Amino acid sequence: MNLFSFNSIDFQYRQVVALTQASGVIPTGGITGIIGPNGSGKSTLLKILCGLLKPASGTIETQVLPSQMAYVAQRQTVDWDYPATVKEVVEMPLAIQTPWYKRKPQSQVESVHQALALTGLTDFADRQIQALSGGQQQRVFIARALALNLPVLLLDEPFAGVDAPTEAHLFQVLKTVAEQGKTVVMVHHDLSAIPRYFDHLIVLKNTVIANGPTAKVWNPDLLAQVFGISLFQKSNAPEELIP
Amino acid sequence: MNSSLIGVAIGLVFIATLAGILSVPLLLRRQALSGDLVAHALLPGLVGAFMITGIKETSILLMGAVFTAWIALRLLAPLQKHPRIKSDGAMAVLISGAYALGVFMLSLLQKTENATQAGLDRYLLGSAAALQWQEVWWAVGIFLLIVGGILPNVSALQLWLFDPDQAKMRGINTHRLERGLEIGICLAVMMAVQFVGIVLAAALLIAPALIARPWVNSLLGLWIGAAAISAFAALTGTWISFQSAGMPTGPWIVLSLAIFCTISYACWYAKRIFFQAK
Repeated sequence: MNLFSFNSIDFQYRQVVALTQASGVIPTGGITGIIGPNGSGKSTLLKILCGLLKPASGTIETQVLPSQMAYVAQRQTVDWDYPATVKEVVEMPLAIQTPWYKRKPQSQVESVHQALALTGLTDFADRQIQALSGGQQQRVFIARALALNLPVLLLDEPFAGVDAPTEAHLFQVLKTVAEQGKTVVMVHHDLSAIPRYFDHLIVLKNTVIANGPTAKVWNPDLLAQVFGISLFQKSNAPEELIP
Repeated sequence: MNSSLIGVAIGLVFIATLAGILSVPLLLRRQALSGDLVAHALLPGLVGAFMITGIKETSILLMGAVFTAWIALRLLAPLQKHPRIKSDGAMAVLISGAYALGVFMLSLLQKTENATQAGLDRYLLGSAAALQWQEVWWAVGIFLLIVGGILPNVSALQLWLFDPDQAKMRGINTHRLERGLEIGICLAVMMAVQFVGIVLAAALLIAPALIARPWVNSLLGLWIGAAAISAFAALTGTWISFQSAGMPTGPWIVLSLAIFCTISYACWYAKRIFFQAK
């Protein structure tokens, strides 16, 4: 069963066309990657799926409500000079569920601790967010989404600014989350990681160029068409990226 | 200690504290000059309300004032969204345009032979000494209304101020928060203008949060700090102005805030240099 099914989506920012007649599906469960060159509409599609943007035309069918989705934006969308600690940011979306005059429920406290542990932020819990590096800020956003414990995670370039070992660890966390039955949809820019990370792909270039299981979509000719350069060199070994 | 000093002090403390509380979301949303816009946009509504009704009743004048101030805030949002108009340019045009319109309307009124219009120009520079007990109770009532609106929504405000998209995702009615903040600013500035005047009212909505920010690391701390600083500045300014006849209270409050701001940032830089040297 498909979690999302979108048909003929059009969206533009004033004069700039972000998406035109984009159609595709995202299956329930597993990890779906949204890839494409800069300006191809990846972030726009993600925001449309979680309801933050309304398309000018087209339809979206989904099995879940926006309240059941956790969205991880790119970290530049907020002001990191905000007066808050790492723990406060992670528990912010949970805190709105408790009236101001009541104590936080123990389940909420545990969710936050678990999310901080999974993202390697336990030692940073009481640190001010303005004192974090870019990669640490990105981990805070991921921890916030994990703490919500929702069935769908939508992440916009969650590994931007994150070092390789941390990226590998965080991906393993997302893979575990997906194995627990949740659906992860992720915009990703590092093409070398595609075959390892994603079960399902949507390839965008302002419209959906390809959509399907990674094994079928991950095709050197198609990707050369989308990215405009030859990304792969032929060899007897499985395709490798040109360094 | 006479009752006029007590009344002025009570009224000003409540108004300044409210402005201090509202200065925090304005600072965090980088909208500190919204208070300036509201203050200047009050004038055409104030004068217009008198022109239409012919009554110089505070509640009527202030209703007109709040109306035009709110219109100015609503006009700001679409201007700021235009890709070729920068935020500061949009603000400058609206501030100066609204104020010019108000001054023009006031000059038209002053050319009429309507004697009851005398005194409308006191809103330009404020007049704390003319404060009536009725206005003090208005100030207390508006303070309780706005604080009563903030308290149950603290968590929602926290998330909205930090990450508006996430707030929408979590089902928070961000339009309601936005409109609530606008109305709160209009009401706070409306009360402040009577005592410190249109020109200086913006300082009450900018300085308190700025003064507190280097020293606090939480939203609650910022709110408490800004409120306390505002209240203290109101008391200080009121006390100084009452030491000699004819001294204006409003400007002394704003001067107190300016001095506190200088001290705050001087201490912060000194602390930074001291710890770096170590």
